[in-house]
Amino acid sequence: MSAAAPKRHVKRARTTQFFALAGVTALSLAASTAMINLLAERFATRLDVTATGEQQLAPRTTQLLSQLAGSTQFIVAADFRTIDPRAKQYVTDVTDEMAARSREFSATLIDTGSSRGVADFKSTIAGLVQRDKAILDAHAAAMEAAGQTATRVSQALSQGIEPEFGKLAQAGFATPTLRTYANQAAAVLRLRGSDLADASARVKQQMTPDDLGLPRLDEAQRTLLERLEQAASDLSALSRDVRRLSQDATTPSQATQQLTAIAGQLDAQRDATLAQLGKLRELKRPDLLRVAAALRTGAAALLVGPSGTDGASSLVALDMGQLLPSGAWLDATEASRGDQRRRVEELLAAALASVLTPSKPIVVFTHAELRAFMDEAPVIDAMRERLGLRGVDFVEWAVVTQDAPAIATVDPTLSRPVVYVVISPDSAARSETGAMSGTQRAAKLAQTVTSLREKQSNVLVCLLPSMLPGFGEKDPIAAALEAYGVNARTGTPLLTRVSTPQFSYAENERVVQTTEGGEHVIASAVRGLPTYMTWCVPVELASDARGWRGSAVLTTPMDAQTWGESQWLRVYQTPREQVPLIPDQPKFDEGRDVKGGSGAWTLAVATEKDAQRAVIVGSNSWITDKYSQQMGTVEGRQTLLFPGNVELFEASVLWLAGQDTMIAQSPAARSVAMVRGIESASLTKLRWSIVLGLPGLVLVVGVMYGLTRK
Amino acid sequence: MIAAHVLPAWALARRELSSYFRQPAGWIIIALFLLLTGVVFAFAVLVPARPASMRAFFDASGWLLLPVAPAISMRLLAEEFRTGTVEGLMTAPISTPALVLGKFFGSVLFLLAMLVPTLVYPITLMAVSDPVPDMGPIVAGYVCLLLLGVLYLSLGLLASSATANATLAFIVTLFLILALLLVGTLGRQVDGVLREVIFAMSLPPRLSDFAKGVIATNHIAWFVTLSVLACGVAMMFVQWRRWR
Repeated sequence: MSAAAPKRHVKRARTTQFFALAGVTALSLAASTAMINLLAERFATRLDVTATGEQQLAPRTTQLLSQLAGSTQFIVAADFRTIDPRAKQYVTDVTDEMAARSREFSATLIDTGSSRGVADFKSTIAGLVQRDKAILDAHAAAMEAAGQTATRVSQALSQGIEPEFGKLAQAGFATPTLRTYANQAAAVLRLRGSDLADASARVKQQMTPDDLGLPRLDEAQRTLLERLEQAASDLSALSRDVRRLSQDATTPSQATQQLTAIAGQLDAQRDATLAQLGKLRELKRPDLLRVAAALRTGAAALLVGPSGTDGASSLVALDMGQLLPSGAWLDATEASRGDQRRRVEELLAAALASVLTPSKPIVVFTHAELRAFMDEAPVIDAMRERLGLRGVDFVEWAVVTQDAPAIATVDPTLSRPVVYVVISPDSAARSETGAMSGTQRAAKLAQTVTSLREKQSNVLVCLLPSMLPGFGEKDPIAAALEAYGVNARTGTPLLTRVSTPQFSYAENERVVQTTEGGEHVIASAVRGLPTYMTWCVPVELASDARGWRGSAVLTTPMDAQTWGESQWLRVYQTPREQVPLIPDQPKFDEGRDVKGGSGAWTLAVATEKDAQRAVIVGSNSWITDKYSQQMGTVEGRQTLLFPGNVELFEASVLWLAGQDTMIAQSPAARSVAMVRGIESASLTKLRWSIVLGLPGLVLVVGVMYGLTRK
Repeated sequence: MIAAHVLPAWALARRELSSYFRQPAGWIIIALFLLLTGVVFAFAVLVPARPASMRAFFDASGWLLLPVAPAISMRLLAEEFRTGTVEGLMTAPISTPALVLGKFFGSVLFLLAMLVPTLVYPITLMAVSDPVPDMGPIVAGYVCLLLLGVLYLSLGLLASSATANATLAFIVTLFLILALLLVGTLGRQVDGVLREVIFAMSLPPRLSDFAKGVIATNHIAWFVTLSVLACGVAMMFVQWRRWR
């Protein structure tokens, strides 16, 4: 008893010691863990390991940079204290990379919120003044010449014509009416003469360079335009009144001769004034003036391209909100660094393209609907906006109601390339009361296509299946395309048998992804990019091409499940979600349908003959926002699911506008890699070899290992 | 001094690893893991004209590890305690840290052996994609999978060190992992510092960053320190048994 007590005591003491030690150790471990995590949170470094172009420029950007023929400067003026540092970082990341790629590209960030800002602003403008000196001098010379004209007209009015009216008023034969009129006319001429003399003096002052070395050309031009317009208007009115007065029966015969002579002088001065006005109006404003004006506002982003000899527009303003978005916006998008960088690159690439494109194309959206609808139903707004960034304008032409497109509204000189995007109508549409039916409208559109071909216009034709071949008639649009050396099988659109656990039905929508062939420049732009298409019509290059040279730009592999169906109308007229419920689904019929072999269906071709070009696409809804702008989350970021739609349209428009060198995949398009189209049988084999092959192999190795050990 | 711990630990780790392959269970676990991840890869990733992303695979693998990791770790120490074979180890000239770390790294090596065959998936994806898929999220995904596996195994080791019952160790491990996965839901119900603490313990936001292709040092620190903490506590349990 007495021996056990000390033992228990010793054991208790040791236990206490152990748990105390363990407790301290556990607490230390927990505290260390908490401390390390707190520090790690505070000083966290996030490494974006996405290789999707963190430091790589897209092919299009690289191509655009390689085309820069002269100094191109990207200038951003902003109070960077108010800009999210991340937004600024994205911009500098991209511009650094672009500057590294091209010697002609440089970027200047002017921080208007810092003391250096004013100095940076002045030195930037001084550099541009030096670069554009010849253009500025020419502009100043034109302004001085206009000022001299103003002086000459002023002198002619006040020293030549005004005294004539004075003499007339003083003449003995003058009637009271004539006298009053002559006095009033003399007063008007005195006023205009004085105005013009004053304008001329002000212009001389405005030609003196300011602190930036820039003459105030804008103000001078405004002054001259204002005064000369007023003078021309008054001179016209006076000339008209004087002639009327000279022909008036109450006017004394002695005055008639004098009035006629005065009218002649008034006309001469009016014509001189109008001629000078015309020259002033035609004078292109040097970009530098716009740059300076924009930068003076303290918040501007401009891409200043190389100047032409005439000071032609090579300036593009970028949306500051898009270029340098707020921190809240950046947080809300949850887009990765790579995506933000791509967004900036896309903006700059579009601006570069705009600077480089000598003449921006006009897209004439041509259709045979019963009325113009683009403004009411914005079906291609996103596409318009995207091309709008590159200076491309859209004009709608509803051929059923309009004889010709109003191109002059966007291009008064009619000098820009025009691309006609022709959208086939729904041939199955019933006619409204008094209106044309679908087939009639198709015929009308076919006439338009033929007429455009005869006028050597370049067209992008988007086809829709036609029910006419089903009735033994020829689809007029397909017939019109034969002249382009293209056979469009509009009577047999492609359907694919799709089997789900519940249904087996004929699907008309497909994702097309061309991976092979296609040497054409459009094919290279869309290669590998998924393109969403509905109601696809196979298009083939005819053996009798009539001098046209064509290439396939979009193909999809033939497989056992896909065929060209002639009895498609019922599926077409059924809402898509109800198609699987159709009891008697279309099936391939050897007698009337078309089946492919082992090659590929061609869904789009590009063809040309001499300088004329055409792109024929066997689907017509692919350009709509509904399909082209579908977004999805890939690797946690929002991206276009079918970039091929946008790229196909953009590349087609540029190719048809003759701007082949501008075509390449854009930053947005390359943002996501896609699984290629794989033939159904190969895919099945691949899948099962992964699902069963790999585990099977492990088991076999395990068995062999076990046997070896025994 | 370090060699005195490292060499026995390394020898124990190798012995532990080979013990997995000596039994059919080890091979079957790997085959089952590959079968399940293979189904996910073949039918959720390998889809023509869809983005070439391994995200579905990584998402599923994280959950597939949920039963696999406890299955690997449950026997690490509990089985030794139950059968009494631990006595041999306790009396051997091997320190407690070396004993625990040897067992732990043995299971980590087995995890690596299980993950290595899955490299076939990104290779296949590269072969059928255009352009080549972004390797960043794939690398980040594997880093995440490894860190996740290590954390799960360390929790399993802790549970296994606390009991002689392997089934109980499995259940406790499963519970601990589920707690980390679901604690964020609880965090939404409270405010203040507690909310911050609960969110700091939550696993899914960290997995989400890795899946995006972002390797963040704070997440790595979180995985590593929690694993070290679990191993440290496991060492104390073993030391307690040794001392008893």
